[in-house]
Amino acid sequence: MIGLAEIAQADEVDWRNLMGAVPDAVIISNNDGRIVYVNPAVEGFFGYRPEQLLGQPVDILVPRQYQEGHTAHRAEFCAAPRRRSMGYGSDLRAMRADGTEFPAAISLGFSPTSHGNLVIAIVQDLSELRKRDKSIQALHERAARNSKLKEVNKELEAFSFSVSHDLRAPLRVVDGFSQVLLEDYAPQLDAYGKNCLTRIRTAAQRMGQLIDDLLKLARITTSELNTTDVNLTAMTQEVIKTLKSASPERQVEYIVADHMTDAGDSGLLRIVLENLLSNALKFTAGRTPARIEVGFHESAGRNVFHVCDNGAGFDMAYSSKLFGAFQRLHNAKNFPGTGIGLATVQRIVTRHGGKVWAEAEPDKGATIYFTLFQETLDE
Amino acid sequence: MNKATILLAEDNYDDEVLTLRALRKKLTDVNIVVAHNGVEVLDYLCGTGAFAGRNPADMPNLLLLDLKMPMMDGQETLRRIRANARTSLLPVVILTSSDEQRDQIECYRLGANSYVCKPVRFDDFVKAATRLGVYWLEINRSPPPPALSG
Repeated sequence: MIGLAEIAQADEVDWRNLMGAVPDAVIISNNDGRIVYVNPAVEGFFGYRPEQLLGQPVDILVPRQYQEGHTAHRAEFCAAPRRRSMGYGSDLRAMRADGTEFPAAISLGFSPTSHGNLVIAIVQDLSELRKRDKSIQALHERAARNSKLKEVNKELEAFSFSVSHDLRAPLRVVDGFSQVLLEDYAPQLDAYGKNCLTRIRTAAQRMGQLIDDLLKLARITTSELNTTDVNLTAMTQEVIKTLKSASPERQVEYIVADHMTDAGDSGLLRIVLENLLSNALKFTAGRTPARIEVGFHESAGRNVFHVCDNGAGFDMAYSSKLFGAFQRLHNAKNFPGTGIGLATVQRIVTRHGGKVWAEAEPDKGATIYFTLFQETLDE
Repeated sequence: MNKATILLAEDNYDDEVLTLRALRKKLTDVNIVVAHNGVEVLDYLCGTGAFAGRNPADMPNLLLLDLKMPMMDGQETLRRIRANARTSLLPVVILTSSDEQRDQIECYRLGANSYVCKPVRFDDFVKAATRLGVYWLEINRSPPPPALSG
């Protein structure tokens, strides 16, 4: 085998050329801590040209707040030199010519000479590594958040199961036995007594409705989104058909735009249309003619759908309350409901990455707008 | 001809009273037996335990099965009924407060014949109980005894 000495002799390789080929920064300082050699890679790391560093104390490569300590460490090292690596566990900081810092790992070695020890420092820039560590950490944190979210969803499901069963059962008992009293003990009850029982039953039934609506809302939050192309024109016609058969006495002029399609979860979008249309129907009660229009326009490349009626409308001052659960802008006597409908609509629209908003005026009708925009989520 | 028999599995006494009342509104000529959990249901069907001495060949026409019961819940009870050749064809209607899709899917998977969510409103409950009784006892044909006895 041809050894290094032979190669060096043949090709005039000297140690400077070898150091020049090292990708890490190599800094050699003398016994006084002054730099006597830097390899070309130092310029890329520290932003100094080699000639700017020669003769300078090596401390200038250390951030100012550590310089004092560094001088002491250096003296200790020179007194009892030993080879070692530093900075792989907790980062050391190095300072560039412009004063900025970077995380560094440093290997130290020494070579005794007739002028005292030469100290050889090999510096690696850990910036990229630490950046990668951070993104890995971010990924870990995201995974942890996701699994936490799954856990919460599971708990929520268990909760809605319990609500579904445990809250409904006693309400049925309240309502049922009130009815038993009304049926079996009618002769013993005066008008006020009967009225009290009727109130109890009404309240129990209303709470039953609230529980049902709340469960529906919870299901929307936990169920998977199953996105397909949805024909909203056909879906609107179907919902209208159901509404017509449920309240055949209502005379309503329905206007439905053709060619309404978008991507979304058809089951959930049906719930949106059912809620918006039954709201429109409810709030146009007493109007002649009652008029409900479903249509869309394009804005910024996406469809903006609307359900518009000429009903009771509302004061826009309260519009911020409109989409909150259990929020109602009208009294329950004239317009019954639990105040879950628009909260449900908003949940569904938000889950599609869209927006919902309203425009209205008291007594002049309301228009609810919504968009569906399935954003591509970067994983 | 013998009176039709409904076996009602219901652990809550209030619910039992109300369900019996709802069923009896229209179905006056029906024999209703109450079991308070899954174990009692199986005892009734097998003539064991609290129902020792009962002739197990004498099957009820219908089992109304609650899901949430102590000792043995409705789903486990249903699984055992379907696993036993003698009781596997018994018409079972789930009568529960749960409107959870998960429960509905699981019950149908286990071989429930029908799934009814008890309405909160008593009038609606009476309507549901009446329709259910009329359908299963008057319109529906129960499996003939030889099939039931395997």
